[in-house]
Amino acid sequence: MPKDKLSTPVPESPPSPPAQPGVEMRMGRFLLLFCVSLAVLFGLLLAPFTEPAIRSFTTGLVTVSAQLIRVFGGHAAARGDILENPTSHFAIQMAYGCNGAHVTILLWAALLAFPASWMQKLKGLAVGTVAIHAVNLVRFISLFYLGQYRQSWFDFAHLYLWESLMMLDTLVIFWTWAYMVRKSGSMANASTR
Amino acid sequence: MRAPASPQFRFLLRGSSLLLALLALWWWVLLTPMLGGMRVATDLILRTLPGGSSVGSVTLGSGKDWVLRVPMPAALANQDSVQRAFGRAPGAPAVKVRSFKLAIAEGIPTFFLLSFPLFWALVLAAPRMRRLGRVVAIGTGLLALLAELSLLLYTAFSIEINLHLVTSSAAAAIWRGAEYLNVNVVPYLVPLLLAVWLHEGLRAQIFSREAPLVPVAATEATEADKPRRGRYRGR
Repeated sequence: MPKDKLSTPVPESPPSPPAQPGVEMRMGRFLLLFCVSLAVLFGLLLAPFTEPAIRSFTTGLVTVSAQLIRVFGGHAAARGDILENPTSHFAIQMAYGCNGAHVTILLWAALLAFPASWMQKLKGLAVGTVAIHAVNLVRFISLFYLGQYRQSWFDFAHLYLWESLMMLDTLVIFWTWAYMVRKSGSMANASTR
Repeated sequence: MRAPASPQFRFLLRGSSLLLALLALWWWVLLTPMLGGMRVATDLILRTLPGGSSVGSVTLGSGKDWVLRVPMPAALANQDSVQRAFGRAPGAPAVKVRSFKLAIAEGIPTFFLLSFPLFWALVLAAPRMRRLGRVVAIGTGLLALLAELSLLLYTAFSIEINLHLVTSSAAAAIWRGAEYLNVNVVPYLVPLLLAVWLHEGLRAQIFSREAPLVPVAATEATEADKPRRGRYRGR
């Protein structure tokens, strides 16, 4: 039987694989690094000196949202961190916690804590961040339209639905990256056998 | 032949669908009894605080607001900022402060209960496992504790905002940071961490170093391959 048959990973796996002793060891190390990274990154997010950069980033996201809406034929104008419909004058603000920074920090902390090469981490950070902010743009634009349609739906989607979905997406992005890291690791091991 | 969807993609689809369904169930069915339970628990906690047996309480105000009467320990009540907030004039004798009355919108405790449907959706979307009920029960219990702690921290922060109890700027910055995380991060982050921590199957799939390997079709396998394939499959 060819070696590559043995070492080719597939996305399918048993319903409930038993936890290995090594997994527990790695989990301890991962948890420690994850908590430290989380504390440092949230510390940076809340530090006064990062505030101007984060505000500029938020303003940029609102500008991109307005441009995207206009590209698809909608009406929207960006005024700083406020997205406004110039016709109905409905406006929503992208507040400090609504710019995807929290889930980005969560993903970064998980990526940095996971055992992988720095190149793999950098790729994960870049692609994962883009993926998160793509979802966040969809979220922000959908909230812009939902708010014009019905305020109660906007509140529910804003506070409960979208934030939870963003968490779920972040976990899936991290899981996909971790899977690819493991896959490339097992490929490398197989090629050196 | 179509390739099977990856476990991550299936988890995303299952998780999103379950989240929608469980959020609806939570919002229309479970939320009212959960809020009732949280109000009773908060009332009991306020009554067990020092000096709280006679003054600590939670009642429903107008517009479903929660009116919390939080007992004030003498050490806090006698602080200058508290005395000024309660109207003591300069040179006048100390005002007797037994409790602080705080009204919070029902949306605040509701928000702290959001962790439940998110946690349930994550563990139910994960690969099936034995003792799933136990995982759900432990996670739900821990989240109940967390929701109560978050509400108490929010209450403490609101009281501090009103009475300016923290004087040092460093302590105030840490306190503000803790409150920011309490309201903006913890209700979303903790259910995710709990799901990964408690659900062995999900944790193993994400963190296991060995990549899942191809279950080779029986027709393609030779006799010599069989034991080896079985060994890999068992990992």
